[in-house]
Amino acid sequence: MKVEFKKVNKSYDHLQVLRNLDLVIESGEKVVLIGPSGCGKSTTLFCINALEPIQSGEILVGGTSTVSCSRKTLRKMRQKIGIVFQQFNLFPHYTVSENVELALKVVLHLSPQETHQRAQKVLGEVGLLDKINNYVSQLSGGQQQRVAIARALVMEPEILLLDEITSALDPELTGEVLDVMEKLAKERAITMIFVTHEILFSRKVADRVIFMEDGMIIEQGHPEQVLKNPAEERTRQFLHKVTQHLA
Amino acid sequence: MELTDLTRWLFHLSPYDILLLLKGALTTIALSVGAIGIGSILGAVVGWIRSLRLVKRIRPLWWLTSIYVDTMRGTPLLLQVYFVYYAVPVLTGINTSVFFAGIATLALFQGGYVSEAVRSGLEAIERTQWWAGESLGMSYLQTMRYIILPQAMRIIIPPFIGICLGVIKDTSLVSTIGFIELSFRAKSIGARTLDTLPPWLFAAGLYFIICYPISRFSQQIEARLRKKQ
Amino acid sequence: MNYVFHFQSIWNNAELFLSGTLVTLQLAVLAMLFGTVLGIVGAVARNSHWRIARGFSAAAVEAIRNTPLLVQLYLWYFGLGVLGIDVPPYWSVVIALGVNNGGYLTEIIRAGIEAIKIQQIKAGVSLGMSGFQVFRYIIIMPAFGIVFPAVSNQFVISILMSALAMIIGVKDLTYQAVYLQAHTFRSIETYIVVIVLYIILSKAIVLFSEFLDRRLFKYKYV
Repeated sequence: MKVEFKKVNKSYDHLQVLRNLDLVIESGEKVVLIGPSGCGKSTTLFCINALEPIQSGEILVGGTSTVSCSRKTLRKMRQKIGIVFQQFNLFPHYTVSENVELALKVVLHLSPQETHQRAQKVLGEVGLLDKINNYVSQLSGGQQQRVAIARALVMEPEILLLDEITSALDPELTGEVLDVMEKLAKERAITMIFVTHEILFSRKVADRVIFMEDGMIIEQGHPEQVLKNPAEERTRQFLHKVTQHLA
Repeated sequence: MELTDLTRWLFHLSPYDILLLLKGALTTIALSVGAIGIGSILGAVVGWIRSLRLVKRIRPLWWLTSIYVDTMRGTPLLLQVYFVYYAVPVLTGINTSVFFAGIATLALFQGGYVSEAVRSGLEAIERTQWWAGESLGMSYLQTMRYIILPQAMRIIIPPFIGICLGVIKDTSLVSTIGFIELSFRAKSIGARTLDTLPPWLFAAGLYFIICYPISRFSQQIEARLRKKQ
Repeated sequence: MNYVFHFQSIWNNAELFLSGTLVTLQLAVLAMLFGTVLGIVGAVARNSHWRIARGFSAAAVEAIRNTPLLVQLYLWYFGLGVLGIDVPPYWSVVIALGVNNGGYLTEIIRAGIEAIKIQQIKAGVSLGMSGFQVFRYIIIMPAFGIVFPAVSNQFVISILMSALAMIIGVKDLTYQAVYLQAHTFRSIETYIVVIVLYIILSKAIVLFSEFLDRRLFKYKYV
């Protein structure tokens, strides 16, 4: 599904985070948003499935506006938009399988067999079949995030939003999550929009990298171009700061 | 318009009855203050005793205090009121006045709850705080006064105010043995005029006027304590 | 102390203690059920969009929590009569105690609901759930898990507060205690038995609710 932003302005109280944002993401594209904190990249994500309201402009997902649609339409659209949060946001009172199956049963009204089938498949893809009956609190951070990915994926969305999914993890756990995402990005044709600081990951996975600052797009293009030879000075400075500590 | 007509129109009560109710409210306040004063001291002592490691180890000591605390918290106050007024004189041969029975029961009741609040407050302070005091050369009392109690108070005070609020409302129960406070007044006015609702409504209003400010004060204190964290 | 204990008359009247205990339990259970329903409604109302619901529930809670139960009991008992509704004393107690419970439970449940992190709700909404579905699957169970200890404490309070029923003639355990004491003049023995019964009742409830807590909300203890 195609995502379009047309002159979107968004503020939190009096702080403007998106300025006249124009953005088009084609169906099946794998896009990475990078930029300093507060530049509006996470906010961009949350506007796509209308978790955050916008003050002016238009956002079209698959041709339908998520700004001016009815509540019912919005709910239907959210079934097609999956999101994985930085803090996982799993349901603590449900087991792993219950977390993954809940929306299938309650929102999509699937039969118990189909629910079970889909859940098994997706949990297999993220490598957590052995933890199916554990409660969320018994899992490590990396495992919890993989459950969150499974929960979003099992809905078979056409767009997947991933908001800094490794930022809350201890360094040694980020690998397992990034590996799963790499695999999924290669195997699936769905649109994926990542907000991340993982530059190496972005180079492997992205079709396009977009650098944002102060609520505007500064530069965008192929990862090899933007990440290795950025055209803009601000992009260069940002990348330098981010990769400094790796050297 | 005369005063009588005004009060009758507003409250369906004569000015005389309103005065009686107000006097009852004053008695309620006095009774509350007395019971809370005595009960809190009692409760603080018992709570402190129950927080000591020594007491917890010597089972009989623990059980002794538990009989007191568990009875206060596990039986109805109304039952306790009847017990103290009717049964205790039989046991001890002393005929107590309504006044003494009322204040004694309420004070003991208050003490039971306060002791648990104090105990949980003291137990919440980590042992490392005690060690800090000891290693600085402080005596037990000094450690208590400068290190432990200031921290424990933060935990004890919100439930303590809640307990006091409860006791103020529970003073209404001593009306059943003839203690002439606000509820007793309301009941007797109703029995006399056969118009039972207005005195009780007025009494409810008076209780509210007494309790609500304390309620709000408690909320503010809790908010301020949370901010300090 | 020159008093000889005679427990014989107590054993002879055991069925009175039993019936009294049953009535006490009935009153407390009915009042808790009624109060829980009111509590959920009140908690939702306190946070609702309509100012009338918010204001009314807030006012009701303050009125209930700042006046004695005795006063509330008489207000319901006489008030319903004035309105023309003839209610037997038993149900007056249930209503008074139930509404009283409702006031306290509203605040307890509200605290539980507010403790559910907004992020959980965002996750549910992102999956396409409706507001009602979010409430049912994401909010209710964890909220109840958080407030369960406070709710069971309220049940114990209900058992103790039910004693006020004897004032308007309902034959609960405290009524039986006073009745027996007046008829057998064995006041100490009567009261000791009733005190022990109440303590057993309240302790049993506390233990049972701890057991239930571990069973129903396993996820809190893994």
